[in-house]
Amino acid sequence: MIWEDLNEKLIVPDLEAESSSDIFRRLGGLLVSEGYCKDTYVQALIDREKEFPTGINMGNIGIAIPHTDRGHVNSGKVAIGILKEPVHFYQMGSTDVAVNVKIVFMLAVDDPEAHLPFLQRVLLVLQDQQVLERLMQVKSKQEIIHIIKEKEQEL
Amino acid sequence: MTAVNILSVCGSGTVTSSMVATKLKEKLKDRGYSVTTTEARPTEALNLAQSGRFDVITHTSPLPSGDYGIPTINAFACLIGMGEDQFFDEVVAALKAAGK
Repeated sequence: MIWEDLNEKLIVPDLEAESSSDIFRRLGGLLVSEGYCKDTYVQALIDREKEFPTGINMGNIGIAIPHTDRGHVNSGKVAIGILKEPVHFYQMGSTDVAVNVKIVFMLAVDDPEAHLPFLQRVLLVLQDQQVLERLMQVKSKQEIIHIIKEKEQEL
Repeated sequence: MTAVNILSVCGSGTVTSSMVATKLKEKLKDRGYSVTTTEARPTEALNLAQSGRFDVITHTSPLPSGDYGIPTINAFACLIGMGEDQFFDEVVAALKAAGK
């Protein structure tokens, strides 16, 4: 389950950022300081995003799933940020489709095979418009965990 | 069950390619295919395609231009969960066209 492994230190319900790089420094920084990722992680996120953007318009809700390849990760984890103000990302697979991102699921994956069920569940959570709407309204870490827990229990 | 090999490509060769690969295995099983996948980055795709090991390529990041020799199908719909069925239909059509 995603919710059981969520670390409160890695959840930011009122993230202030002006750019995707800000987000990477903030959330990525947490993953590094908590030991899940190497020091190279943040720069790798910034570099990767330039080449392979991770924004996705889920209906009319903008989300992003920034991540790097496994070389920068010590152990698998997710950091979640809900942005106070939307931040611009480009959409995955495009060079010019803008996504106004409000919800960020930053994934640190060291072993995709081992994390497949987890990744599948993240995808199902992110494909649920109602869950996304609720996440955008949250004020606390606990609420975020609760919403994800509820969704997972119905999967 | 017909065994098929699919090359699933995404930016890092880890996250979205794995997500797509899992769905392909699940959905294509219902259509009589036993799917084996390999996940890769766009820079690795051409070489892997030219090895002749794969029947189809699915991708969520653009592929560098080149002669892949096999069908390449955009898997983005699979990620957003909208228009997914069309994506699976496309994959199946490509497999059938290749005689599988």
